[in-house]
Amino acid sequence: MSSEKQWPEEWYKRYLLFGKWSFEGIEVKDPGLKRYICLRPVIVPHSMGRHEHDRFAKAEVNIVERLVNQLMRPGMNAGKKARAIKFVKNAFEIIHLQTGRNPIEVLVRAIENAAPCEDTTRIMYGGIVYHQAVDISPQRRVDLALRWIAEGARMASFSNPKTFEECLAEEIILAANKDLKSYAIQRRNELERIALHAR
Amino acid sequence: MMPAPVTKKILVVSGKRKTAIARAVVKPGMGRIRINNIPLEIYEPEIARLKILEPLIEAGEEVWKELDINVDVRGGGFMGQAEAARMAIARALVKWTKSAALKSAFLRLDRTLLAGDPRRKEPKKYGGPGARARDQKSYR
Repeated sequence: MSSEKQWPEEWYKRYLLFGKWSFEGIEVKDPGLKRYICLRPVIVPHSMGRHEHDRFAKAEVNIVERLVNQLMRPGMNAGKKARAIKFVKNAFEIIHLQTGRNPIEVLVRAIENAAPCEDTTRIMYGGIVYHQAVDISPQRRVDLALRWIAEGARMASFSNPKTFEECLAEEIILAANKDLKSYAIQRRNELERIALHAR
Repeated sequence: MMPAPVTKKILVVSGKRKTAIARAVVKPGMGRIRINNIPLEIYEPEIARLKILEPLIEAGEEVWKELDINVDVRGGGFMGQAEAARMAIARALVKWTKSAALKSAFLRLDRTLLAGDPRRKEPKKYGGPGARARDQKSYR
């Protein structure tokens, strides 16, 4: 597990994402998600990953790469990581233009805001199905947040003249601002509302 | 007649990844790096270029600015070729400088830069369309 592992100082200067965005000074404010959002400095979010057999290894995959991986979905984009990376790169440019902040930081904020805390599970008790509210593990919170951000962007760009990059950028910015227009935030609120009722 | 450099002449180092094999030829020069005769600065696609750039950034300009590296990559796809090329370059730099510090820096950055990635494509077997996928069977 990544825990509070620090990366060597000089990496922050040498390895800028896409040769542009620095990972320096970006912190995960949510203490629960800290160990599951990896901010290892990389140039290309493409690690030729070897993590599928290790339970917590995906927590050590760079967070931008995890977003990239979520964008590859069957249909037109399955397996096209180069394409997905280009989408993220352009989306990051747009985010920077619109907010003036470091897009990696915006993404981390978005994930923190979109990560749900509570879910429900089905419990059979005496033949009757109950819904029981449960806490979500931090790993799954990150997974869900990333998935919803990607899903929201995909749905927004479908049959829409806007490019996918714009939709992705917009979704990330909205989520980072905790805006209710964001699909990921909507999903989070809905899930937590259901969980609240099932408590 | 120019006196040839006494200690270091030419190094040939290889790197592999999947089915791609890269051969790097290192000689004293002025920092020209070519992949299949294409200068690294204009090598496409971009993600492959940045991948190849990584060991060079880690080593620092002063190491590779006085070298010419020619990489010849065969086989594989563009990403496999890029990984093979960066591996060849990283190994070449370590071999050229004989520096233990550089070696440990590479290992810390990405072990596969020097050690290689032994994963290969799993062969397809009969009875199905792929390595693990089997043909559908029906009982009636």
